[in-house]
Amino acid sequence: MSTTIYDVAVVGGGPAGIAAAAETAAGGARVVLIDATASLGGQYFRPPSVDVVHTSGRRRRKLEALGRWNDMLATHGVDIAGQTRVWGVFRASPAGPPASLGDDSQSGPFDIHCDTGQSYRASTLIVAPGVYDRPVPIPGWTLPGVMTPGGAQTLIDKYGLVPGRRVIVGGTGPLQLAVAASLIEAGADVVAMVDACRATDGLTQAPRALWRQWGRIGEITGYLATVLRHRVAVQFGSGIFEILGTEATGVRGAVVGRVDPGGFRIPGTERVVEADLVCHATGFLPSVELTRHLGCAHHFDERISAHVPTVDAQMRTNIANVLVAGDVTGAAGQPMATLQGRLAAISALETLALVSPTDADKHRNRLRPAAIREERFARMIWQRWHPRPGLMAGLQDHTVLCRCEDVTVEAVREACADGARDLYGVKLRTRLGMGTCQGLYCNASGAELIARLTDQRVSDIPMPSVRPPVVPVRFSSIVGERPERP
Amino acid sequence: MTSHRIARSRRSDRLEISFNGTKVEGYDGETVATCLLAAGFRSFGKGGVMQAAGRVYCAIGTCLQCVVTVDGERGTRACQTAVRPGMNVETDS
Repeated sequence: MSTTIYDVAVVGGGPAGIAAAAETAAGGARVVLIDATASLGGQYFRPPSVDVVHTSGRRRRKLEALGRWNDMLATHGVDIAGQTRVWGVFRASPAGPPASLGDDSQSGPFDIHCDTGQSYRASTLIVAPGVYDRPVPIPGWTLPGVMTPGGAQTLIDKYGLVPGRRVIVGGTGPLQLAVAASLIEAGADVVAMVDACRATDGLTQAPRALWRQWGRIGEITGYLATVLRHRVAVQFGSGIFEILGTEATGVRGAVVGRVDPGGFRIPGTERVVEADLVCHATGFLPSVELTRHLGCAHHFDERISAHVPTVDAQMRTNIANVLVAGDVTGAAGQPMATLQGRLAAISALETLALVSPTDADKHRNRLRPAAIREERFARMIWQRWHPRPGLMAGLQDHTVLCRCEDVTVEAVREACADGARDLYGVKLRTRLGMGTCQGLYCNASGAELIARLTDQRVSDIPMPSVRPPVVPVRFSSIVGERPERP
Repeated sequence: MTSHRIARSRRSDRLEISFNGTKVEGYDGETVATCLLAAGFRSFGKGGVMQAAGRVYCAIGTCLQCVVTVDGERGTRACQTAVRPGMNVETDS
């Protein structure tokens, strides 16, 4: 196990992390950028791993932009640690055990431990882990042939693989339209787009939100044109009630119907749509494992209905020298993520005395108008596509809520009847959240359900505690390879 | 779910992996998950305690539902593992 020393370590190689790494390095810092995948870009750029020939100018321009970022990272000598997941961060201490991070009397550099067995030492940490699709637990959601919209998009963009022929895209969220368009362009038949939002939701904000967003207007118009040209049945105010199929043969269709403004099903409106792939999610969940482990303060973001790390306008957290940037702070989209990456870089350079406070303020002021514009846009997006309570909580007894441990809604109901009032209590009684995904795909829906069953607000249900390793890792990457048997 | 490779994606370096003893075609740059999906396997798991195991759900390495045994290494994410010629993939025991 070797340790290399850096001024700045950036965790997460999406738009925010790339911008943060490039700009801190351009400012003279020694930087390492740590990312879980083999090629940078995150869930926005999705660089291809096979040679996918792209017909859309939109996709080509995106990859050209990524190319420019990669050039900048190379020019400024950023070390890139690819296929690397951070499982724990500790204060470097010369003697004794590593100090707890919540304790701010400790000010040593951070030791960042990774699943490759490698560790990195840095005085400043910029965390940009992004978001992932928020699952919708309904009957049948664990069948083969049910994917997240982001998953389908990844298979198409990165690997040129179309994961189905007849597809239903459902739930709600800003990604659904883009995914439907991608599926169509890749040759799939999108038989229905089922969105819980009403057609007019959020549109009163559109004139302000879309002001000087010409690129985005073009992007949205492009997706809409593709979807309309292929006569996709777009159903607003609707939801997927149940996914049909068998374990052996996979998805064969779904029951769809009308939902009320809260996303709750309206009985008597059901009909069956045949499909072999269902892409289903309701917005995004921020990846807060690392910021929670670091001891950063979090608050409940009503807009996306999830706990997010609390940052100030300069991307600083309550922990000294820990900065957070990008979608994890509230899923405002790529332009905002890039801006936040830049703001975090300015703060890091200021702390390292590589830029004067006066110059730092000058740089920040230049970014402010764009940030205000992006905030307006995000407000409209989440007004329209906010995760509906009826989609978030599994509501039927036989629905699996925790797919790693096969914990059903009924089991959570019994746990709550037995006195459980939070995720910890439910976990002790049911194993909810104790499987291999470590609760990433059940804690949020579990909290929704618990809130409903125990008459609490979901914002009052605390997040479960996070302990290292914060991502599933092999034991050997923590303690080294096991010795040969004698 | 009938997955297929996009015709207009260019692929070179055809290779072969084995899944539970069956030969499966793959190409350089693909993952274990995309090869198995393209070959028509919907589920890579055996069911049981983790009923939902062995399928591609998030495809970004987060949900760990697609884990398989690769060259003897259990709990390997199929969606994040690049294929290599002769790779031996098995359902997680």
